[in-house]
Amino acid sequence: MSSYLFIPGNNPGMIQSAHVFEAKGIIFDLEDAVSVNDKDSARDLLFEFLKDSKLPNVYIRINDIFVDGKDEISRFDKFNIRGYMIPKASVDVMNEVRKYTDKELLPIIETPEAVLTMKEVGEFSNVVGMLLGGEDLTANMDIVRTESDVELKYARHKLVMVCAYLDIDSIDTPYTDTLNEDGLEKAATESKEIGMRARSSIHPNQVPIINDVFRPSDSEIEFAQKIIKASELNDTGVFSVDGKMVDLPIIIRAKNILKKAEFYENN
Amino acid sequence: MELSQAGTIESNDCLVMISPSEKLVIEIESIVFEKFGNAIEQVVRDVLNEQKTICKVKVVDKGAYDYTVRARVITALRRAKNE
Repeated sequence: MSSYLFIPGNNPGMIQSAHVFEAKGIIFDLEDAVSVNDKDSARDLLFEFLKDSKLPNVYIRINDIFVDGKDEISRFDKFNIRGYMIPKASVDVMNEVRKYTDKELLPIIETPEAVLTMKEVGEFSNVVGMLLGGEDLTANMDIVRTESDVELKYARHKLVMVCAYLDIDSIDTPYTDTLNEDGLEKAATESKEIGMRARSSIHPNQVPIINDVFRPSDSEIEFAQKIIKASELNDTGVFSVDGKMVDLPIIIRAKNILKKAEFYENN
Repeated sequence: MELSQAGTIESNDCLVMISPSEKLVIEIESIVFEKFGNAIEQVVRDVLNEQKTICKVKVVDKGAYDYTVRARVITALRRAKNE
């Protein structure tokens, strides 16, 4: 799976259905999806739910680490969760977070400072991926989000490159029009094409669309199998399969496709 | 103790209202009262016993699981006590 699904922390109906959504990560959101007056309510609800939960791949998006975030980590750290999504990530924020938990971390890159320092942010121990927070980033820069996401081009490509270098998940910003399935498919395809490893979602209906886009197609798998088979029979550096030149980078890509296909098969 | 409430009347949730009272009063309105009324009341009693609190609790239930009822009572009590 290649989708991370946000679930509002104060919504019992969605929380208890979380196990049916085929997401790589479930992110119970205590931050933006919960109104200021209901933060206490959401924390209590999530606490009572997680006490007996065996749900795998759970992350909690905490609030500002310098305000409520550290208390939230103290409260939830004993539970069976993978880790935390960290809003407004920066080097200072990550240094603070590291004092309170050894669990996995998913920093959100949503400020100009974070875009400029994302390599340093991603290098903190236990960071397993970074999410581009497109809405906050453009709001911080006082620019308007467009359907083409042209305004996020630099940040998205930089995120892909930094995450590839660090071998962690690059997670694209959510597609916010939950009724536009064609738009989501197009946006997720672009995420995959530029090298994102996953896309976040804000509605359960978005999850299968994202998974379908990121899952290697039958023809990709078939061609990758042909390449691997041919590479085992050829000891020359370069050979051809179906008229296409194959050398080491192509073989590596074929192996990655088969690895990804196996992951989807088993998850 | 002040008047307080927590939760909603959306599906799978419940609205819990707390008010001061010298004796324990638990009122439950539920779409599944016949089947789960006693269980909901037991969850409320458990939380009140744990917190050694006597008050009036009204629960308007829309099919909430136990963990939700428990969480909403805990939140409403904390708000009632201004903690």
